[in-house]
Amino acid sequence: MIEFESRLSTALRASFAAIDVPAAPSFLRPPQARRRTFAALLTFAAAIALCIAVKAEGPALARTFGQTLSFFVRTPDRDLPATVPAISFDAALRTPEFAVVRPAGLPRDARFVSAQRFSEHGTAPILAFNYLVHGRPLLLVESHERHPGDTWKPDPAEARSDARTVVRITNTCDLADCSGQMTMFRVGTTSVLIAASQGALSANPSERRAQIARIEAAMRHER
Amino acid sequence: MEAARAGDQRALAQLLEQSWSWTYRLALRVLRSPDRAQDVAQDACLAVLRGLPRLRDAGAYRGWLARTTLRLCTQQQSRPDVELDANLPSNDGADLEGALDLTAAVELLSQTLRVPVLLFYGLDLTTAEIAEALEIPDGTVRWRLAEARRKLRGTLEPTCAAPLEKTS
Repeated sequence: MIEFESRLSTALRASFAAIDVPAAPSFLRPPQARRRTFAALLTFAAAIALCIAVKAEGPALARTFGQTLSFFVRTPDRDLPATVPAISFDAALRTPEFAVVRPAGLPRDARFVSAQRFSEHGTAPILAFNYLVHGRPLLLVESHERHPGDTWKPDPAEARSDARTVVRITNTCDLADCSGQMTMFRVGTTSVLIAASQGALSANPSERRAQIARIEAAMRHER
Repeated sequence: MEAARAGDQRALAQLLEQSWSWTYRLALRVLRSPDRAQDVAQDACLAVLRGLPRLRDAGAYRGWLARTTLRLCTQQQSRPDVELDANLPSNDGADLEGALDLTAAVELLSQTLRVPVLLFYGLDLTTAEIAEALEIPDGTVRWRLAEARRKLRGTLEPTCAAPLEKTS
Protein backbone atom coordinates (compact mmCIF):
# COMPACT_ATOMS: atom_id res chain seq x y z
CA MET A 1 0.00 0.00 0.00
CA ILE A 2 2.83 2.36 0.85
CA GLU A 3 4.45 1.70 -2.48
CA PHE A 4 1.17 2.33 -4.23
CA GLU A 5 0.75 5.61 -2.38
CA SER A 6 4.27 6.60 -3.28
CA ARG A 7 3.59 5.95 -6.95
CA LEU A 8 0.32 7.84 -6.70
CA SER A 9 2.00 10.80 -5.06
CA THR A 10 4.81 10.85 -7.60
CA ALA A 11 2.41 10.64 -10.51
CA LEU A 12 0.15 13.39 -9.25
CA ARG A 13 2.96 15.72 -8.31
CA ALA A 14 4.41 15.25 -11.76
CA SER A 15 1.05 15.93 -13.36
CA PHE A 16 0.65 19.14 -11.39
CA ALA A 17 4.18 20.21 -12.23
CA ALA A 18 3.54 19.53 -15.91
CA ILE A 19 0.65 21.98 -16.04
CA ASP A 20 1.60 25.01 -18.06
CA VAL A 21 0.59 27.94 -15.90
CA PRO A 22 -0.30 31.09 -17.83
CA ALA A 23 1.17 34.41 -16.85
CA ALA A 24 -0.52 36.02 -13.92
CA PRO A 25 -2.50 39.19 -14.51
CA SER A 26 -0.43 42.33 -14.41
CA PHE A 27 -1.44 43.23 -10.90
CA LEU A 28 0.13 40.01 -9.67
CA ARG A 29 3.46 40.44 -11.39
CA PRO A 30 6.68 40.84 -9.43
CA PRO A 31 7.34 44.33 -8.09
CA GLN A 32 9.62 45.60 -10.82
CA ALA A 33 7.36 44.48 -13.62
CA ARG A 34 4.20 45.65 -12.04
CA ARG A 35 5.43 48.87 -10.50
CA ARG A 36 4.05 50.96 -13.31
CA THR A 37 0.74 49.18 -13.18
CA PHE A 38 0.60 49.59 -9.44
CA ALA A 39 1.43 53.25 -9.73
CA ALA A 40 -1.32 53.69 -12.26
CA LEU A 41 -3.77 51.81 -10.11
CA LEU A 42 -2.84 53.65 -6.96
CA THR A 43 -3.10 56.96 -8.74
CA PHE A 44 -6.39 55.83 -10.11
CA ALA A 45 -7.66 54.92 -6.69
CA ALA A 46 -6.53 58.24 -5.30
CA ALA A 47 -7.86 60.26 -8.16
CA ILE A 48 -11.30 58.88 -8.58
CA ALA A 49 -13.90 59.80 -6.13
CA LEU A 50 -16.28 58.36 -8.57
CA CYS A 51 -15.96 54.68 -9.04
CA ILE A 52 -16.06 52.44 -11.96
CA ALA A 53 -18.89 51.32 -13.67
CA VAL A 54 -20.35 51.73 -16.92
CA LYS A 55 -23.60 51.05 -18.46
CA ALA A 56 -24.45 50.93 -22.06
CA GLU A 57 -26.53 48.56 -23.91
CA GLY A 58 -25.78 48.25 -27.40
CA PRO A 59 -26.83 46.74 -30.60
CA ALA A 60 -23.41 47.63 -31.92
CA LEU A 61 -21.73 45.75 -29.11
CA ALA A 62 -24.12 42.91 -29.60
CA ARG A 63 -23.12 42.74 -33.22
CA THR A 64 -19.51 42.91 -32.21
CA PHE A 65 -19.56 40.21 -29.62
CA GLY A 66 -22.64 38.28 -30.45
CA GLN A 67 -24.53 39.23 -27.37
CA THR A 68 -25.74 42.28 -25.57
CA LEU A 69 -23.18 43.65 -23.23
CA SER A 70 -23.89 46.01 -20.42
CA PHE A 71 -21.59 48.55 -18.92
CA PHE A 72 -22.31 50.81 -16.06
CA VAL A 73 -21.16 54.22 -15.07
CA ARG A 74 -22.20 54.91 -11.55
CA THR A 75 -20.83 56.81 -8.65
CA PRO A 76 -20.37 54.95 -5.38
CA ASP A 77 -22.22 57.50 -3.32
CA ARG A 78 -25.44 56.96 -5.16
CA ASP A 79 -27.97 54.25 -5.03
CA LEU A 80 -26.91 51.40 -7.19
CA PRO A 81 -29.12 48.91 -8.90
CA ALA A 82 -29.32 45.73 -6.92
CA THR A 83 -27.57 43.82 -9.65
CA VAL A 84 -24.53 46.07 -9.64
CA PRO A 85 -22.06 45.47 -6.84
CA ALA A 86 -21.01 48.74 -5.32
CA ILE A 87 -17.31 49.36 -5.15
CA SER A 88 -16.68 52.04 -2.61
CA PHE A 89 -13.82 54.42 -2.89
CA ASP A 90 -12.59 53.37 0.54
CA ALA A 91 -12.62 49.75 -0.47
CA ALA A 92 -10.73 50.60 -3.62
CA LEU A 93 -8.10 52.34 -1.55
CA ARG A 94 -7.72 49.35 0.70
CA THR A 95 -7.39 46.94 -2.16
CA PRO A 96 -6.35 48.98 -5.15
CA GLU A 97 -5.65 45.92 -7.20
CA PHE A 98 -9.19 44.90 -7.14
CA ALA A 99 -12.11 46.25 -8.62
CA VAL A 100 -10.79 46.93 -12.06
CA VAL A 101 -10.38 43.25 -12.57
CA ARG A 102 -13.94 42.87 -13.58
CA PRO A 103 -16.07 45.99 -13.41
CA ALA A 104 -19.70 45.43 -12.81
CA GLY A 105 -21.58 44.72 -15.96
CA LEU A 106 -18.78 43.13 -17.91
CA PRO A 107 -19.71 39.65 -19.02
CA ARG A 108 -18.22 36.73 -17.19
CA ASP A 109 -16.13 35.94 -20.21
CA ALA A 110 -14.39 39.28 -20.02
CA ARG A 111 -10.87 38.64 -18.88
CA PHE A 112 -8.84 41.44 -17.43
CA VAL A 113 -5.53 41.78 -19.21
CA SER A 114 -3.98 44.99 -17.99
CA ALA A 115 -4.58 48.52 -16.89
CA GLN A 116 -2.87 51.47 -18.46
CA ARG A 117 -2.65 55.14 -17.83
CA PHE A 118 -2.68 57.32 -20.87
CA SER A 119 -2.57 60.86 -19.68
CA GLU A 120 -2.99 63.23 -16.83
CA HIS A 121 -5.56 65.84 -17.52
CA GLY A 122 -6.24 68.23 -14.72
CA THR A 123 -6.44 66.10 -11.61
CA ALA A 124 -7.88 63.05 -13.26
CA PRO A 125 -5.94 60.43 -15.12
CA ILE A 126 -7.35 58.75 -18.13
CA LEU A 127 -7.11 55.04 -17.62
CA ALA A 128 -7.81 52.15 -19.86
CA PHE A 129 -8.53 48.57 -19.03
CA ASN A 130 -7.74 45.89 -21.52
CA TYR A 131 -10.09 42.99 -21.62
CA LEU A 132 -10.67 39.97 -23.71
CA VAL A 133 -14.33 39.34 -24.32
CA HIS A 134 -15.06 36.03 -25.96
CA GLY A 135 -11.44 36.00 -27.03
CA ARG A 136 -11.66 39.39 -28.69
CA PRO A 137 -9.97 42.49 -27.33
CA LEU A 138 -11.98 45.23 -25.74
CA LEU A 139 -10.39 48.35 -24.42
CA LEU A 140 -12.42 50.15 -21.82
CA VAL A 141 -11.23 53.70 -21.43
CA GLU A 142 -12.43 55.34 -18.31
CA SER A 143 -12.01 58.70 -16.77
CA HIS A 144 -13.75 60.88 -14.31
CA GLU A 145 -12.82 64.40 -15.15
CA ARG A 146 -13.21 66.69 -12.20
CA HIS A 147 -13.28 69.90 -14.18
CA PRO A 148 -16.46 70.06 -16.20
CA GLY A 149 -15.20 73.07 -18.10
CA ASP A 150 -12.46 70.96 -19.60
CA THR A 151 -14.59 68.10 -20.67
CA TRP A 152 -15.60 67.13 -24.13
CA LYS A 153 -19.07 66.00 -24.90
CA PRO A 154 -18.69 63.78 -27.91
CA ASP A 155 -20.26 65.03 -31.05
CA PRO A 156 -20.74 62.31 -33.62
CA ALA A 157 -19.28 64.26 -36.50
CA GLU A 158 -16.37 65.49 -34.46
CA ALA A 159 -15.75 62.07 -33.02
CA ARG A 160 -15.65 60.53 -36.44
CA SER A 161 -12.91 62.90 -37.40
CA ASP A 162 -10.93 61.81 -34.38
CA ALA A 163 -11.59 58.13 -34.21
CA ARG A 164 -11.07 55.83 -37.13
CA THR A 165 -14.39 54.07 -37.00
CA VAL A 166 -17.05 55.27 -34.67
CA VAL A 167 -19.37 52.44 -33.89
CA ARG A 168 -21.71 54.17 -31.60
CA ILE A 169 -22.18 57.27 -29.51
CA THR A 170 -24.90 57.15 -26.99
CA ASN A 171 -26.23 58.70 -23.86
CA THR A 172 -26.77 56.00 -21.33
CA CYS A 173 -26.11 57.34 -17.89
CA ASP A 174 -29.20 58.54 -16.13
CA LEU A 175 -27.50 60.42 -13.36
CA ALA A 176 -28.62 64.03 -13.27
CA ASP A 177 -25.15 65.51 -13.29
CA CYS A 178 -23.60 63.06 -15.64
CA SER A 179 -23.23 63.68 -19.32
CA GLY A 180 -23.20 59.95 -19.74
CA GLN A 181 -21.85 59.81 -23.21
CA MET A 182 -20.09 56.82 -24.52
CA THR A 183 -18.03 56.70 -27.60
CA MET A 184 -17.19 53.45 -29.16
CA PHE A 185 -14.87 53.04 -32.06
CA ARG A 186 -12.75 50.41 -33.61
CA VAL A 187 -9.06 50.32 -34.19
CA GLY A 188 -8.25 47.27 -36.21
CA THR A 189 -10.09 44.41 -34.61
CA THR A 190 -10.27 46.03 -31.21
CA SER A 191 -13.34 47.82 -29.99
CA VAL A 192 -12.64 50.85 -27.88
CA LEU A 193 -15.27 52.10 -25.54
CA ILE A 194 -14.78 55.50 -24.00
CA ALA A 195 -17.06 55.91 -21.08
CA ALA A 196 -17.50 59.37 -19.75
CA SER A 197 -19.22 60.18 -16.54
CA GLN A 198 -18.30 63.80 -16.89
CA GLY A 199 -16.25 63.68 -20.02
CA ALA A 200 -13.50 61.24 -20.81
CA LEU A 201 -11.36 63.05 -23.29
CA SER A 202 -9.91 66.50 -23.43
CA ALA A 203 -12.00 69.35 -24.73
CA ASN A 204 -9.03 70.47 -26.75
CA PRO A 205 -9.22 68.82 -30.20
CA SER A 206 -5.49 68.48 -30.70
CA GLU A 207 -5.01 67.08 -27.22
CA ARG A 208 -7.93 64.77 -27.77
CA ARG A 209 -6.42 63.47 -30.98
CA ALA A 210 -3.17 62.92 -29.11
CA GLN A 211 -5.03 60.96 -26.46
CA ILE A 212 -6.61 58.73 -29.05
CA ALA A 213 -3.25 58.28 -30.74
CA ARG A 214 -1.81 57.12 -27.44
CA ILE A 215 -4.67 54.68 -27.05
CA GLU A 216 -3.98 53.31 -30.48
CA ALA A 217 -0.26 53.06 -29.77
CA ALA A 218 -0.93 51.25 -26.53
CA MET A 219 -3.25 48.87 -28.29
CA ARG A 220 -0.62 48.11 -30.90
CA HIS A 221 1.81 47.53 -28.08
CA GLU A 222 -0.62 45.17 -26.42
CA ARG A 223 -0.85 43.12 -29.56
CA MET B 1 3.82 35.11 4.63
CA GLU B 2 4.41 37.30 7.68
CA ALA B 3 6.24 39.88 5.60
CA ALA B 4 3.39 39.97 3.12
CA ARG B 5 0.91 40.47 5.91
CA ALA B 6 3.07 43.26 7.29
CA GLY B 7 2.83 45.10 4.00
CA ASP B 8 6.08 44.09 2.30
CA GLN B 9 5.16 44.57 -1.35
CA ARG B 10 7.85 42.25 -2.65
CA ALA B 11 6.80 39.47 -0.29
CA LEU B 12 3.19 40.04 -1.21
CA ALA B 13 4.00 39.82 -4.91
CA GLN B 14 5.90 36.59 -4.33
CA LEU B 15 3.05 35.14 -2.32
CA LEU B 16 0.59 36.09 -5.04
CA GLU B 17 2.76 34.54 -7.74
CA GLN B 18 2.94 31.29 -5.82
CA SER B 19 -0.75 31.38 -5.05
CA TRP B 20 -1.57 32.07 -8.69
CA SER B 21 0.27 28.97 -9.87
CA TRP B 22 -1.05 26.83 -7.05
CA THR B 23 -4.68 27.84 -7.46
CA TYR B 24 -4.55 27.64 -11.25
CA ARG B 25 -3.21 24.09 -11.16
CA LEU B 26 -5.77 22.98 -8.63
CA ALA B 27 -8.62 24.69 -10.44
CA LEU B 28 -7.55 23.24 -13.77
CA ARG B 29 -7.54 19.74 -12.35
CA VAL B 30 -10.96 20.25 -10.79
CA LEU B 31 -12.64 22.16 -13.61
CA ARG B 32 -10.69 20.82 -16.61
CA SER B 33 -11.08 24.20 -18.28
CA PRO B 34 -8.10 26.56 -18.63
CA ASP B 35 -10.33 29.61 -19.01
CA ARG B 36 -12.37 28.82 -15.92
CA ALA B 37 -9.23 27.93 -14.03
CA GLN B 38 -7.79 31.35 -14.81
CA ASP B 39 -10.95 32.99 -13.58
CA VAL B 40 -10.77 31.00 -10.37
CA ALA B 41 -7.07 31.73 -9.88
CA GLN B 42 -7.67 35.42 -10.42
CA ASP B 43 -10.54 35.55 -7.98
CA ALA B 44 -8.61 33.45 -5.46
CA CYS B 45 -5.67 35.85 -5.61
CA LEU B 46 -8.02 38.74 -5.06
CA ALA B 47 -9.38 36.87 -2.07
CA VAL B 48 -5.81 36.58 -0.82
CA LEU B 49 -5.35 40.32 -1.13
CA ARG B 50 -8.53 40.98 0.73
CA GLY B 51 -8.30 38.21 3.29
CA LEU B 52 -4.63 38.16 4.15
CA PRO B 53 -4.86 40.82 6.88
CA ARG B 54 -7.56 38.79 8.59
CA LEU B 55 -5.73 35.47 8.44
CA ARG B 56 -4.69 34.83 12.02
CA ASP B 57 -2.67 31.67 11.57
CA ALA B 58 -0.13 31.67 8.76
CA GLY B 59 0.00 27.89 9.01
CA ALA B 60 -3.62 27.74 7.93
CA TYR B 61 -2.92 29.56 4.68
CA ARG B 62 -2.83 26.55 2.37
CA GLY B 63 -6.03 25.10 3.76
CA TRP B 64 -7.72 28.46 3.53
CA LEU B 65 -6.50 28.99 -0.02
CA ALA B 66 -7.65 25.53 -1.02
CA ARG B 67 -11.08 26.13 0.49
CA THR B 68 -11.36 29.46 -1.33
CA THR B 69 -10.27 27.89 -4.59
CA LEU B 70 -12.64 24.97 -4.30
CA ARG B 71 -15.51 27.26 -3.41
CA LEU B 72 -14.79 29.30 -6.52
CA CYS B 73 -14.59 26.10 -8.54
CA THR B 74 -18.00 25.12 -7.25
CA GLN B 75 -19.36 28.46 -8.36
CA GLN B 76 -17.83 27.93 -11.77
CA GLN B 77 -19.31 24.45 -11.98
CA SER B 78 -22.74 25.80 -11.29
CA ARG B 79 -22.55 27.57 -14.61
CA PRO B 80 -24.11 25.57 -17.41
CA ASP B 81 -21.51 26.45 -20.02
CA VAL B 82 -18.38 25.07 -18.44
CA GLU B 83 -16.43 23.48 -21.22
CA LEU B 84 -14.03 20.61 -20.79
CA ASP B 85 -10.53 20.66 -22.13
CA ALA B 86 -10.07 17.83 -24.55
CA ASN B 87 -6.53 17.31 -23.31
CA LEU B 88 -7.66 16.30 -19.86
CA PRO B 89 -9.35 12.97 -19.33
CA SER B 90 -13.05 12.99 -18.73
CA ASN B 91 -14.75 10.62 -16.37
CA ASP B 92 -17.49 10.05 -18.87
CA GLY B 93 -17.45 6.59 -20.35
CA ALA B 94 -14.60 4.96 -18.51
CA ASP B 95 -12.55 3.57 -21.33
CA LEU B 96 -9.56 1.99 -19.69
CA GLU B 97 -8.02 0.47 -22.74
CA GLY B 98 -4.45 1.22 -23.51
CA ALA B 99 -1.84 2.67 -21.24
CA LEU B 100 -3.89 3.83 -18.34
CA ASP B 101 -1.73 5.52 -15.78
CA LEU B 102 -2.41 6.61 -12.27
CA THR B 103 -3.12 10.18 -13.23
CA ALA B 104 -5.74 9.17 -15.72
CA ALA B 105 -7.23 6.78 -13.20
CA VAL B 106 -7.56 9.59 -10.69
CA GLU B 107 -9.50 11.58 -13.26
CA LEU B 108 -12.01 8.77 -13.39
CA LEU B 109 -12.83 9.10 -9.72
CA SER B 110 -15.89 11.02 -8.64
CA GLN B 111 -15.14 14.56 -7.58
CA THR B 112 -15.88 13.67 -3.97
CA LEU B 113 -12.96 11.27 -3.99
CA ARG B 114 -10.79 12.97 -6.59
CA VAL B 115 -10.38 16.32 -4.85
CA PRO B 116 -8.99 14.87 -1.58
CA VAL B 117 -6.61 12.73 -3.62
CA LEU B 118 -5.40 15.72 -5.61
CA LEU B 119 -4.91 17.78 -2.49
CA PHE B 120 -3.23 15.04 -0.47
CA TYR B 121 -1.01 13.36 -3.02
CA GLY B 122 -0.62 16.10 -5.58
CA LEU B 123 -0.34 19.21 -3.47
CA ASP B 124 0.88 17.70 -0.19
CA LEU B 125 -1.86 19.05 2.01
CA THR B 126 -2.35 17.27 5.29
CA THR B 127 -5.64 15.60 6.06
CA ALA B 128 -6.30 18.38 8.58
CA GLU B 129 -5.76 21.01 5.88
CA ILE B 130 -8.01 19.12 3.51
CA ALA B 131 -10.66 18.87 6.20
CA GLU B 132 -10.41 22.63 6.60
CA ALA B 133 -10.59 23.15 2.85
CA LEU B 134 -13.56 20.88 2.31
CA GLU B 135 -15.22 21.78 5.60
CA ILE B 136 -15.61 18.16 6.55
CA PRO B 137 -14.26 16.13 9.49
CA ASP B 138 -10.73 14.82 9.34
CA GLY B 139 -12.04 11.27 9.62
CA THR B 140 -14.15 11.77 6.52
CA VAL B 141 -11.09 12.91 4.61
CA ARG B 142 -9.20 9.79 5.67
CA TRP B 143 -12.14 7.60 4.67
CA ARG B 144 -12.37 9.24 1.26
CA LEU B 145 -8.65 8.80 0.70
CA ALA B 146 -8.87 5.16 1.64
CA GLU B 147 -11.88 4.66 -0.59
CA ALA B 148 -10.12 6.44 -3.45
CA ARG B 149 -7.08 4.21 -3.05
CA ARG B 150 -9.30 1.14 -3.04
CA LYS B 151 -11.03 2.23 -6.22
CA LEU B 152 -7.77 3.19 -7.89
CA ARG B 153 -6.24 -0.18 -7.14
CA GLY B 154 -9.36 -1.88 -8.42
CA THR B 155 -9.27 0.19 -11.59
CA LEU B 156 -5.59 -0.27 -12.20
CA GLU B 157 -5.31 -3.91 -11.31
CA PRO B 158 -5.97 -5.25 -14.79
CA THR B 159 -3.22 -3.14 -16.29
CA CYS B 160 -0.88 -2.28 -13.48
CA ALA B 161 -0.93 -5.15 -11.08
CA ALA B 162 2.26 -6.65 -12.39
CA PRO B 163 4.37 -3.47 -12.35
CA LEU B 164 3.10 -2.63 -8.89
CA GLU B 165 4.02 -6.05 -7.63
CA LYS B 166 7.48 -5.76 -9.11
CA THR B 167 8.28 -2.61 -7.26
CA SER B 168 6.90 -3.67 -3.90
